[in-house]
Amino acid sequence: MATSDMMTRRQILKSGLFGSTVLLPLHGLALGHSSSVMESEYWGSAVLSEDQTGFASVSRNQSAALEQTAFRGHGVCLNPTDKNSHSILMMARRPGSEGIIFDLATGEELSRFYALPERQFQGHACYSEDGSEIYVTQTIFSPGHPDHGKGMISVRDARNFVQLREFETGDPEPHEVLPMPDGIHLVVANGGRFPGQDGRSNDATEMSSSLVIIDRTTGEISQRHTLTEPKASIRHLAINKEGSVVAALQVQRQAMKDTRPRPLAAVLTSAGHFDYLPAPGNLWLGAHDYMGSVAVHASTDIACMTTPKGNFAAFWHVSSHTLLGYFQMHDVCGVSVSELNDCFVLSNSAGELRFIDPVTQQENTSLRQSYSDLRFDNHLSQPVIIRKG
Amino acid sequence: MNKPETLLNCVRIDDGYRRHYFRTAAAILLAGLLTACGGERKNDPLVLTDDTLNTALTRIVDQTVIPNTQAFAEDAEALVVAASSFCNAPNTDGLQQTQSAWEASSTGWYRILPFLFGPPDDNLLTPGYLFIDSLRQRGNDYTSTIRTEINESVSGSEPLNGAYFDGLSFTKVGLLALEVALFEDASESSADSDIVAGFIAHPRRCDYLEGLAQLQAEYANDFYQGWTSDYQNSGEAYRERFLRGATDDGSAPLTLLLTSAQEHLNYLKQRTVADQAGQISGISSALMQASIEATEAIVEGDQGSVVTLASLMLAAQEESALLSVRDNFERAYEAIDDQSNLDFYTAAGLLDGNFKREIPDGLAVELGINFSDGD
Repeated sequence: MATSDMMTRRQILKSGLFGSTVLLPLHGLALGHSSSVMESEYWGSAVLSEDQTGFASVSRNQSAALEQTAFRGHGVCLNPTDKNSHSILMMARRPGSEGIIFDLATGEELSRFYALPERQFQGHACYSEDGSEIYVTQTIFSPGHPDHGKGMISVRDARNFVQLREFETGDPEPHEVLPMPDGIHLVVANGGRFPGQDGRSNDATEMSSSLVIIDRTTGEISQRHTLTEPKASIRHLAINKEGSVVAALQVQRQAMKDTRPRPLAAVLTSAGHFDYLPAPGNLWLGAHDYMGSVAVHASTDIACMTTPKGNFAAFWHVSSHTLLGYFQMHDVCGVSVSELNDCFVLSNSAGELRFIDPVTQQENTSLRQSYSDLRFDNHLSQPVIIRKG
Repeated sequence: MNKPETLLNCVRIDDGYRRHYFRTAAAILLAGLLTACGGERKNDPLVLTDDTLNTALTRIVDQTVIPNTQAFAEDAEALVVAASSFCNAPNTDGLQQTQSAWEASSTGWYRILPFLFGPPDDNLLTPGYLFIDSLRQRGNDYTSTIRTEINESVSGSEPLNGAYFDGLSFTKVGLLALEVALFEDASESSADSDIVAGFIAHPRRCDYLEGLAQLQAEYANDFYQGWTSDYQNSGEAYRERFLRGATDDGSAPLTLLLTSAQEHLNYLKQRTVADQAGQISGISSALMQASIEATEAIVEGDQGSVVTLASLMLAAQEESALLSVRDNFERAYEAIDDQSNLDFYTAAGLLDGNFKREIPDGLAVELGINFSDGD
């Protein structure tokens, strides 16, 4: 079925586009699985509170451990082999110079590490599958030097954070990095903009955004993919079980000469085909050129992408490239999953967590959490289930 | 309960939208605020609280948004009646009356544009407002598309009934389609005699005109009923949902209102609307005037309101911020009077900034941290 912006309102409403017309691997999920009273599910996020920046871990509406930081945080990631210690890494928002490890259960800072001279962290990092290494996106910041603005990965020892090696990402402004399921490669979203003299502002007149697959050991770039829209900055990523990479985009409208809405979501299939995910023009228009975060619900193979400027989250079935629907939420940006409730979790700047069934895109309001003293920033970590007693 | 509105009953209101009225009201407010209104008791000074903000918000809804929506629905229905009367016996007088009815509905629509949330924007993919105003989507001018559609449908044989118009894309219906149908003939002549002759020679033009008018009236009525009676088959009026904070995306009502107004001002500037809207009929200035007046009513209130966003900004000692807002409204009116679209866009841009910063800051309202910055 065509879903262009030329469809009439009645055609859309009659089509049942956002209903049960898509055959999914799993039929509707039951939300609200009763969890053991001994289990608590925690998420971590950079937060703002009372004009101060920090990190918060949240769970069950009761525990909001808040640790203040001197910088505004951004990406948060877990050590996949270290769940017992509940440690979580939060990187500084770009251009940053620090990463801090927190205890997710207590909010306590465990350790921190810094960017090396002439390097600026870009807001995200990830662990290797075995938990021994951390990969941090960064750029060379050396105005006037030929390498200024070059995208890099800093590889750190996860025990002592010493830089083991660094390698290039092939294009400027690497943003999110994730480990591929093969355990060998990383996927990096190169935002493509060149840094200004202050490191924060970016020049979008000459962009070179790409999605690259890099050998995590040698730094060899084995695949480089681009999109047809040169002003689409590939920035945030999620991976499904088959190894398809879903990318959330940010279009640099100020560097464009027309106002036509552009797609803001793309997928790199495991077969190496990189293309946009479909949606009617009005959905892209409503997103105001910005998708801020993305997560995949593994068992249903459904991706959820958020747009705080559009105040909604959109859902696609990844393998079939099918738009399923949307859920409206003010200033929504963080997205993760709930393992206990088998659904997506959305966060926003009002300190709310909402739990959304991936198949129906309906909220289970009985699970809603609210932290009135917190304002969740862009990203929400993967969950950690802590069993007590 | 105190009834501070009576303070302004002595101010004569010609049409409810005169900006000079706002000036007068503001002057009285400044003189009277410290002694006269807003608190629990008659002489309590007005203070900025959640309660007073809610009072101001309720009055914006009840005295501006819903009346504007009702007026648009009534004007749209009046256009249906005028078109039907004209088509019974096409002549110049009937054409001019129908054109006047279209102008009334158009200016009425521009009094709704700052409030594109709830009933007119009830669906992310195909919001109802697009079927009134195709320009609002992203500033595209579909005049050529409409001319082709009208000429083909008039010369064709397909019944021009309700099903036909229901099936049309938003690019082919609404105010612009009606403007094309009413203000020019098939050869784009704007002479009344030519237009009337076209309707007489091709009765299907009348079928087309009446069908477009009817479709617009149905949408306009849906918007009004959504605000006052039943929103999205919920059994509850959007007014009630909005005022108790049950908005579609969970936004706080005031945040939704301020954001909508800000997006409207941004739209006026970014899409150079004064150069695109009402071009065939020549009423662009009237549309901009209506739109700015409706936007100003958000700040200054209407129908003699005393508890307004402006008075609350003053109570919060945000005089300089309010002064900036008022100066920029004045700049917009002057630009309209001077017929300077460039100056109008400058003013709209400044007001856009006011609705992003000075007004929410002055009212201690947060629009959201992710709203304005991405990464």
